[in-house]
Amino acid sequence: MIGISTFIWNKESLDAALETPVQQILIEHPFYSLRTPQSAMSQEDFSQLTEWVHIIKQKNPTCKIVFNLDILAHNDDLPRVAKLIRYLDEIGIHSIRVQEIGIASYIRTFNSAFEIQLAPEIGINNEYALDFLNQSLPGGIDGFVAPSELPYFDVKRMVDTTNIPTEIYTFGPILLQYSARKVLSGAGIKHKEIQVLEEKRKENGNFTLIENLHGTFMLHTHFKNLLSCIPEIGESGASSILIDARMHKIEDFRKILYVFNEALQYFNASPETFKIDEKWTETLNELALRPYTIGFFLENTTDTLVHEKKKEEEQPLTFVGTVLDSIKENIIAVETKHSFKKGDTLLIMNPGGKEIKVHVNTVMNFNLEEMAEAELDHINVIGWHKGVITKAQVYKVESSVQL
Amino acid sequence: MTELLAPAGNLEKLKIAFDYGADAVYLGGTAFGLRASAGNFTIDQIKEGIQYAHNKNGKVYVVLNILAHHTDMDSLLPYLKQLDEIKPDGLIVADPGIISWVLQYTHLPVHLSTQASATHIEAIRFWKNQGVSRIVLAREVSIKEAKQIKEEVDVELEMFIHGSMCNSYSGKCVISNYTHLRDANRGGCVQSCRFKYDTVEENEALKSELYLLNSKDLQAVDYIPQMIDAGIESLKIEGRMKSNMYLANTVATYRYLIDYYIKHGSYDGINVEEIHNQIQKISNRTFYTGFLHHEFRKQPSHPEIIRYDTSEYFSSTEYIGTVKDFKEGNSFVLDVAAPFSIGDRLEILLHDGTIVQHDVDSIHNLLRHSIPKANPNMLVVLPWIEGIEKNTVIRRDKGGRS
Repeated sequence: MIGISTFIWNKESLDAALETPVQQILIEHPFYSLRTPQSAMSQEDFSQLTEWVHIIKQKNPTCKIVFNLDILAHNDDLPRVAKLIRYLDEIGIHSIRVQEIGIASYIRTFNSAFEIQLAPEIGINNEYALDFLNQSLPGGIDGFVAPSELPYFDVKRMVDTTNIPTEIYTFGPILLQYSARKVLSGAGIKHKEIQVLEEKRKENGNFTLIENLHGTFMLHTHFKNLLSCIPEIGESGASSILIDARMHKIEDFRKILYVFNEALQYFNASPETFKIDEKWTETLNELALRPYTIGFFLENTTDTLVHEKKKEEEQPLTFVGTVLDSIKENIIAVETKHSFKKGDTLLIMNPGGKEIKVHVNTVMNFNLEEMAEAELDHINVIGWHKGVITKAQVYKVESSVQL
Repeated sequence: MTELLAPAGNLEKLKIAFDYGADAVYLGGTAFGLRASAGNFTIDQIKEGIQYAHNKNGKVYVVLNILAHHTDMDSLLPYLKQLDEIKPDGLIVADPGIISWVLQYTHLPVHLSTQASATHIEAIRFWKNQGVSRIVLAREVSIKEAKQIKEEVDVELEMFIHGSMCNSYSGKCVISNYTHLRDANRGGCVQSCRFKYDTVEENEALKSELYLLNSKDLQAVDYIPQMIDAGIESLKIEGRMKSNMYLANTVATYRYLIDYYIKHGSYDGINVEEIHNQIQKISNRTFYTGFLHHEFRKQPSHPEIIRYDTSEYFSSTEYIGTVKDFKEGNSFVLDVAAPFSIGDRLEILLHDGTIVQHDVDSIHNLLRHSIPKANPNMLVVLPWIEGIEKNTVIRRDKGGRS
């Protein structure tokens, strides 16, 4: 069964979440979160948080209440965090969601029964990493939000390996960068919200950059919307989807919750026969603040770069050195890393890939004195060969290798 | 003993780093590192680098600081076993999955990469308890905070002292993933923070053009004493992709400062202004002191952090080349990186940090033909200069041009 997690940011959003109903509610406080909008609870007063927790427990006792403590803490944050943890324990928060393992470990030193959930900013992208942290953290990890850059089949591996309840960020702005450094106010720019057009941007379109009261800021691409990927969410083994509609109006938030709740009800009842209802898609399209994307959920296209690099590692020849000079119809100078001698066959690969086979007739040092074999770590000179250019890589062809 | 740790983008740079006084270098293999565009090392080259370093009582740390995906892990184990055999002095790792494998399958010390953004006492304590022997602190940690950490947790600490700064906490930026389909945390960062941006009020006209995310470079000349006093074990220079000249100059400068402070207990007697002038000569995006000063960390909106008008490098000296071979008392061979002519004045940066001025009165190619001008990508033979050794770096003052 897949449930819904959602952020709330005021009393109306709380009511909407309870009416849906959702299975998990996330609450933030401006002091302890990266991106609490200005409309969130007041900075001075925690009584609002107490009140909301009371309301949730009264109206939906099975709903899990999660405090989003996703700051990247420094030493001087720790006393405040300690005070906060004691307070959250008192008011009956169930879980704390963190973005770094140090804070998770710190929370575990308190005598509390909090569940620990890992936010996607922690940057855990493989099952071994998640498993290691689960084993290392006293009491283990109770929940994990998969990073948006992961495809569903990688999420499945993590779920299968660890059995940790895992959440898929399904609807909301994509976070591109976190920093605690103000950039805009530093430049003297006054704004509520600005768009940033990247000079060399590709087809993914505009960013929007938002800076909150604390100097933190966000860069957004299109909105993430995985409505069409609910079957793959199911296949990943995820326990819940995360909806972040804090940029939307309350009436739109209600509609978003309605769409996903209805879709999940159908899916949970019969995954095999589940189909996307066009009405759901139309509703979300009408509410779109920016174009939607499914990001990397079906395929991680950034893998291409990594795999191309790995192919280059295969090198059956012995590296001899680098051509540092080529004087036409005279000599080629090689900075020698592995020795070669008269009679050897070299394969010289120019930058750009052109390969030239060279038979060594003579070897000299830089003073043009003939040598029996090339001196390691020195400049050595061989006869000139057409086409060889500087920075070419030189390999010795072993007798067993057929070119 | 405070370690001076330098970047090694390739084998030549590794040797230059040690020749100019580094105690240790860090380098990347052909996979699992964040600098895909650096030269990077094959296993054989790492082995050669380790031998060179150990002969000079130096150390080599291998960087495996990607945030790995499942597909990366497939080929990791054979690589770890190869590294275990050639015995570098440590592996710099960010991903908990890779950390667990290094601990499980090798005998090598684990250094937690700055990519893991370790910022406070409890995080450092956690990683120490897992068996990590050194923590490379996040660049946002001040010296005051590092000192607090040092007092609370008995683990080696490493801090950056020089070089480029990420605009984001390291490892927390995925802009390249979305804009260029290149994984920023797996060697594909396109440095979006160096691009020019147009800032626009929502749905309104263009307001301005800015290098909005272009962080200035870190420079810690004035902070070396505080860092040594705080007990920081390793001081790190950034820049595996930077030039030989950058490497030689920064290593020589910080070597001098560290040795002087350890010997004399203060900078008294040093012309610190001249040190600043010298380090300013090498390519930089203008310097600031990062977050080393605690109060500066608490004022992250300080306009000094970002260079808004350009992301270009500034340099008042030009890298001319590196000495590749020599015959003492006779001549030396220079691998030319920038053109120079007879009559030009060059600066020879000797391995002990001394700068020797040299007026060029003859240039020969390898055939010993006299030529009026040396061009990039050629070797030239110049008359012997006292103090020249292999890997000596030669530069030229631009005479006020940058």
